[in-house]
Amino acid sequence: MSEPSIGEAVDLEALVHHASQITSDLQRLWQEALDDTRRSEVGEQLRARWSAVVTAINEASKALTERLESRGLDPRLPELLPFSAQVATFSLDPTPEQALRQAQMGLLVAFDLLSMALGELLREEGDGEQPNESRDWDPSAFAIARERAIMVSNLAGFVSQAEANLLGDARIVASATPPALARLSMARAAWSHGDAEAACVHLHVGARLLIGDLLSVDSSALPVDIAEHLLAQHGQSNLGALLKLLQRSVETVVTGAETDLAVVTVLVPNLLMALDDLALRPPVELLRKAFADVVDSKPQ
Amino acid sequence: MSGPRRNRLGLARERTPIVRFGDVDIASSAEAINTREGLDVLPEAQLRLKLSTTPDSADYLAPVVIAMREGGLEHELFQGSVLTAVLEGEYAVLKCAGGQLLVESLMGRFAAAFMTAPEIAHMAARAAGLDEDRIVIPALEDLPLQTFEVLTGLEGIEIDTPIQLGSVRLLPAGTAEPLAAHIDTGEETDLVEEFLGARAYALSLVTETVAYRAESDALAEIDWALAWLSVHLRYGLVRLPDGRAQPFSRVAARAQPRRGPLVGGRALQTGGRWIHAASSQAALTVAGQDALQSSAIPNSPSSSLRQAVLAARRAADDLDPIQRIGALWEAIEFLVRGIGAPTPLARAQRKALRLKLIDVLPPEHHERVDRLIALINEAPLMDKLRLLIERDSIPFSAGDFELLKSLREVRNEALHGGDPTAGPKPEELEHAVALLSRIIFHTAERTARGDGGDRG
Repeated sequence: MSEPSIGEAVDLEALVHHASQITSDLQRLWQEALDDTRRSEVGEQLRARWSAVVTAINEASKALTERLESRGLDPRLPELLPFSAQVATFSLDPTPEQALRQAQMGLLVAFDLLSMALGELLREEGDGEQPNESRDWDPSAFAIARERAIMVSNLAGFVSQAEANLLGDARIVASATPPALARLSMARAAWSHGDAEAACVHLHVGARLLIGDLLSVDSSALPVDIAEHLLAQHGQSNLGALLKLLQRSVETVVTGAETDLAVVTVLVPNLLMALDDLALRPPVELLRKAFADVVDSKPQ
Repeated sequence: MSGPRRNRLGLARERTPIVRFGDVDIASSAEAINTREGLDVLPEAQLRLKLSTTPDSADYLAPVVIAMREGGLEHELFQGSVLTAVLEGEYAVLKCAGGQLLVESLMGRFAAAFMTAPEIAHMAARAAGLDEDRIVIPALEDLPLQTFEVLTGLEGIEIDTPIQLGSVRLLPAGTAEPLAAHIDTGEETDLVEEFLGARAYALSLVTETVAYRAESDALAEIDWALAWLSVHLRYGLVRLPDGRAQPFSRVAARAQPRRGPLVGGRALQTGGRWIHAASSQAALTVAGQDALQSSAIPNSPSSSLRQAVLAARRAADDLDPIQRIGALWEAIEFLVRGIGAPTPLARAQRKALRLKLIDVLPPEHHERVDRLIALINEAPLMDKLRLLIERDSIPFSAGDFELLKSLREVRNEALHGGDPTAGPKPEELEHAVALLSRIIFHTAERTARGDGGDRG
């Protein structure tokens, strides 16, 4: 029998989901602080599950290296993290080979970030300078590990897509979470960290994706000023008014100016509710009328 | 071994053979008993049964025990099942074998890579129905806690992007290759190909030490998710309970999502992986000429007999033991329909009781009073079953009743009291299904003779 080879995970996002679930359980147990034995068992599960995520990312990277070598391409990345000398050469309109390199570097930076969070979570009791210190976790460490793992999973998808564009035969497993809902989830995460401006950016992208999904059109086909279209169709639209404010706020962020902190702080929770409502009870007819030009021009 | 030997000098202690089918003693009808066991073979036994003296309740599908009583002690020589009974004049010549459940539900088509022998042995033994506490494989204790991917092909589902259903992820076709890589199929050349050809997959991740436990936990999650999906597909209201409108397709609503025939697993730390026929179900076998030639099907069966037989088939076939027990008791309920049992309340007593109750209760409760009084006169199901067995002269031992009663308790506990603490053993379930078949056959026979009437 040859040396065991693990190979790529069937679905990296599912592994992250599996690991995140136990993280939530452990967090709850830790907060309840009732049973040391049970805590220890869940702690072992935590290590095993996150180890599987880390192994899967390494295996994916190894497999990509082999595929690139077999096509005569150099799999080596030009320098070590954080790729300071390379970033100036990055392009937002790259060639397929360049896109793959950029995606690989992005994945490694995200993986480094995840590793730091996991290092904190998976540290054994008694590690560090004080061998007998009582093991305790900052509750935010769990959330940080989950969010960084999602980031890694998303970037792994980017790498697969870039590989498919370059080599034509990558194995791509799409995310189980629709992009619009993933953006709303990221907006919630940013909001929970007190970062209203980041939440605004995610909401801006999420709203477009969601409306695109509801109308079954690509969100890039929607007009830039979606708020104006909604208001033109329905002057009293609360969603239209909120989206208009959102667009202005994001434009301010893009120009590098200070946003009105009070406005974005009130805006974010209201928009989160409005977009949840839009997903749950979509006013499809109103949306169809508001974006009639896009819907009507959609190829049948 | 042969029958009792002579002991002319009285020096040897008396040795008496014991032969039991379930709890039915057939030693007095058994002759030419031979048992054999060895390290390299499953235990075997042969014997002849004198048919004229064999008790009617002797059942070939009951567990067989052969033992020797010597000086008040009982030494077990053989435990197993009847494989064949060939009729030769006034005798039936029996061949028996031990570990038969093992042989019948062995995983069959199996291919693996990077797995250790103890892991494979444990998987085979558990899949065969052996209890965890009957398997001692010390090497299993040294295995690391690790995450397993368990993937099973799906039928009745076609998707193009993954869908998360609780802890189970449904995946589109073409996503299983990493798990199947490196598996040497040996003679099972089409196993991997068949596994990779599924139209969709269900993936469940379990963090465990032992592959079989990971697979069982994962399959339980997948079965639950698929059962839920079937229920969801048949939800026909325009709006979901949370107020969202739902799309509808009659074709989709009639779909029956289920597991395909193969399951694969992979340990993400040690790299061990396997694909096999996904059967906790017994391996499919074939009934031949001899088994079928004595079959006769009832003419114009009553609707209750028809429904009882359909439920009995579920009791024989279903994968889940609690579902099997539920189906078994459902079949019995159909069979006892119309069985009259003595009623504790006479007509006059019922009338008097009713008058007393409606006198103190408002009119809206009067219908409930009637139902409750009727319920008092309704005999318990076990009592009705006893009456049916007596009426139709069905051979039934006290042990047979005890087995059905214990399964009734398991069913009631599952239905009303939460999770049953100890599920039935596979051989008990098989025997219970044989008892059900016995009841059905005798009831159908009585109906065919014309003295049972059509209770449907």
